[in-house]
Amino acid sequence: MPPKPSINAKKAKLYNSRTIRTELSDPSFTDKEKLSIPDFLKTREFEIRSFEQSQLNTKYASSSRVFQSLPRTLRRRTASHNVKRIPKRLRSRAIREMQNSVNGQPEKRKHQRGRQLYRLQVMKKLLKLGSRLKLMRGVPNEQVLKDQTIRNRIKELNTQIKSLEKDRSSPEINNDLGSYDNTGVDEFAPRPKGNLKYHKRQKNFVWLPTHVWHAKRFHMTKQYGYQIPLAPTQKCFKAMNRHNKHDAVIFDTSFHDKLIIEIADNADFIQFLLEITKYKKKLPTEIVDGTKSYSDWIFLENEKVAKVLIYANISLKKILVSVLPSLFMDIYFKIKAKLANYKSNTTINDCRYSLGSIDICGPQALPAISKILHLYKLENSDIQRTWRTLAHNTDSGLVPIGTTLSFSVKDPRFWKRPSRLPPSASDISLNELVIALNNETSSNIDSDSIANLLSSRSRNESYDGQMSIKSISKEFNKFYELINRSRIPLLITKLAEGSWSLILPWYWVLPIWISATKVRQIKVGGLKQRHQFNFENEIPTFPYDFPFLRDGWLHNNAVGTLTEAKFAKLKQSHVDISRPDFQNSSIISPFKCDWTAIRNIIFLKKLSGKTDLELAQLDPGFATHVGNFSTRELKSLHDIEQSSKSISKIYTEEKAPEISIVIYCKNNEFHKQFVDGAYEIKSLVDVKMKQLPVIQIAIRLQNKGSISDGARIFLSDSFNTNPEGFVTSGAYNLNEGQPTAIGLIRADVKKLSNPTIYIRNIGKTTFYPAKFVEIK
Amino acid sequence: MSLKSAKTSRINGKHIKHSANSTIPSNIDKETTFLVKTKTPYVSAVKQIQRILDKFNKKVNKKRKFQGGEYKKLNYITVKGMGKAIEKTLSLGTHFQSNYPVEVLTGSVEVLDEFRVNEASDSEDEDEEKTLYQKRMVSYVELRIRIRRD
Repeated sequence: MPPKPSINAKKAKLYNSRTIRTELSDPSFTDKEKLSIPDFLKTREFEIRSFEQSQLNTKYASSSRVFQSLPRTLRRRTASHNVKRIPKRLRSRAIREMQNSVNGQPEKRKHQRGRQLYRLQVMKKLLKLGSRLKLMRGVPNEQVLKDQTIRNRIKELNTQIKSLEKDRSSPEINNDLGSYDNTGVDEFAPRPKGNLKYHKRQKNFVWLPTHVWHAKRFHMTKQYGYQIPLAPTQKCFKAMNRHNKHDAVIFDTSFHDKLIIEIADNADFIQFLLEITKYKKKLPTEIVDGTKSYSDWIFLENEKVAKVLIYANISLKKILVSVLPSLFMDIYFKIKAKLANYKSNTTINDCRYSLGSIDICGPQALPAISKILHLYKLENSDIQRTWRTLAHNTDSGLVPIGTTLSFSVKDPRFWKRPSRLPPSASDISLNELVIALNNETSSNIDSDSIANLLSSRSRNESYDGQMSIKSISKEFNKFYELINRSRIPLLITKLAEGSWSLILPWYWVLPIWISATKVRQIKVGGLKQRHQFNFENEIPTFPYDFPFLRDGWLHNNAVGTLTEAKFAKLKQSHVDISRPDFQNSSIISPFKCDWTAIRNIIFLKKLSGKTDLELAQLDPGFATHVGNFSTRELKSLHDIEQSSKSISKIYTEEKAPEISIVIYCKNNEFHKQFVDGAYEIKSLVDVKMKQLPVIQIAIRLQNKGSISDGARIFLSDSFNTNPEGFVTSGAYNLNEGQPTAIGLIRADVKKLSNPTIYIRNIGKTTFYPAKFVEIK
Repeated sequence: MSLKSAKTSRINGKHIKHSANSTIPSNIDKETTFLVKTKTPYVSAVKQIQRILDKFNKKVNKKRKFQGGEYKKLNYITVKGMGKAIEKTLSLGTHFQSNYPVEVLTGSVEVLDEFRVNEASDSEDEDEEKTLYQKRMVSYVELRIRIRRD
């Protein structure tokens, strides 16, 4: 190894690289004024060459490291001291650069001694046994994975291996990768075990099938019992908007929990669907027979719970429900209770860890994903024709929502690169296809594939002989033999928000995912990007824009607590309590959307029976009480503000609702009265017990301005009025080229014709006039 | 037979218009096509089209990218407008005619209209909407503005 250059020599090299040598004699002036350019250039040739040389010298001398020349997408965290984070072709240069750097290559750590060494050795033994078990196609049992000493775990593994050795006829799993179907029939499915080495770190928060891929490239978040990709580590706000406008973006949504409900009797099957969907009298036939999916609200106990995806197929007698993970338990138990009332045989399968999904959005969603989905031969050529037409056209909202296709595909890893689906003479135009899809002339569901996807045994069979990437490249010469061996059943359906959802067996998500990321048009997003796209298309996102649902309410409160804690830590000199909203007298919290305060004020004003003007004119004076001290007489605005503060302390016989607002429902008597202004508030208890009806709105400013989350919505631009609603998501909208917002406002603004609202950000004094439309 | 008799009647209900473009554009298409809408401001369109033209002009744009490879065979850029925007598109054509050779092509293009018809309230909570689709032919005009390389 060459000796390390001294720091001075290195500096000298750097300085030398910056000096440019020049030639002083200049005979190119023929006359005194005229410059002959060819002569001039010729005389300067030496200088130009040395200038170019110096540029190269600077480049090679030092100042930039090899990973700095990489495109953004190939850059990794801490690549400066870990060569493994640099592409292989550049590694040798990176190592050379590290040797030359001041700190040199990091020293190898001395190996552990004593107890630490023993622990490592035992761990190694455990892992060796673990991989042996995997090779024998066994799954480590619960005892091995339990929290106990390593020695006991090794003992358990040994006994398991011995018992497997005795009887090798029926291995537990049918492939070398450790894939198996993990469904809970009428019970909760156990968490996926994962690799023995990484078992501990996925015990509390389940890894998605693509976790390792994402962990290298994304900020991850631990939510709802999963580790979910939040956003790419690279800056991508504008880039993502462009991809969503022109290309395609994919999301791993395997954390959306899936349930399969089996109901043996047809009448019960339809009855169940009528109870949980928005249809109350007659179900559209295409939803019952599985031609279309239902992507809308789920109703349980006659209440809107959440927006879900439901796919029902009466011939299979199965209903697939995909819900957001935070609502899973609630929905699971409610459905289970509902099913108990049916006389026919019913089963509820927990498919949280046996069905995964990938969401694709953007106009090129299907053209892009079709490059890696190679269809397994189909009996019904209509499906193929539909798929080809969809794959050859961009979809900018033309294809009807709920359009569903189901087919089987071959393992995409057998194709070295994405390939475009060849067109055929029998293809129809997109317009004709859309009309046909709307009229439901034919179903695009392959009955075998959908049956395979919805059955636990068939899903397990699909993993039979699943190959690793290594074995695929080894046996690549047997391409034609091998490609027909794999058969992945999948379902692809269009969701209400305009994206497509691909539902497939859990352990097939990763192969599809990795192949999909190689398609040029496809970029990858996380939870934040989902929120961004929805916001840019004025679609509310769960839970942020749904404070009238439990999860949204909790999210809003959590935001409030965190911002308040952050504010409390600020230095006194940084706090300006003279700002609006932050004044001590303010009864509406400046840290969150304080719905309870708004509800109290609106209902208390109604209770007082006085107009705003009357309340404002009256002098506060002393507080007077009606009856006991808990009920204050409402004579002035001050009385209302003070009472609003004390409402939470008022005793009520029934439990007051946890959420202070409710989304407007036209069939609710109180809501109707509220909008007409004919409602009655009888007492302070009434204020506490009633929920304020609100409507969800999309807001656009009339002039320039800015909107941020939690901004207040007013009906006049005066500081003397109270807010009538809040902005739940507000930011600059790249689709519109101006700030927009999604928010909620009291429902009686419906009655006003074309009202102007005013937006004021928290702690700011400017009111921005804006227009709004109701989101239904 | 006059064209008017073939015209379909409008269905009562909320009318959602969809883009007539559903083919996947190539990279060159994306860079050399300008679509004129009724809402496109005239001067803004002039500036945007000029920018596309300048991209291929060696004097203005020194980048070699637009002179070789796939771009070498490129002769013209396309400006399209349909329906109400035809007039604006043609006036853009006359603006560029003074400096560039402009060809004008006319034709018609098929679009799909979506109608959301409110049916008698089936569900208790929300009105049931039925979606109907109808094809419609719309006239369009295409300008081919010949590019100048130098």
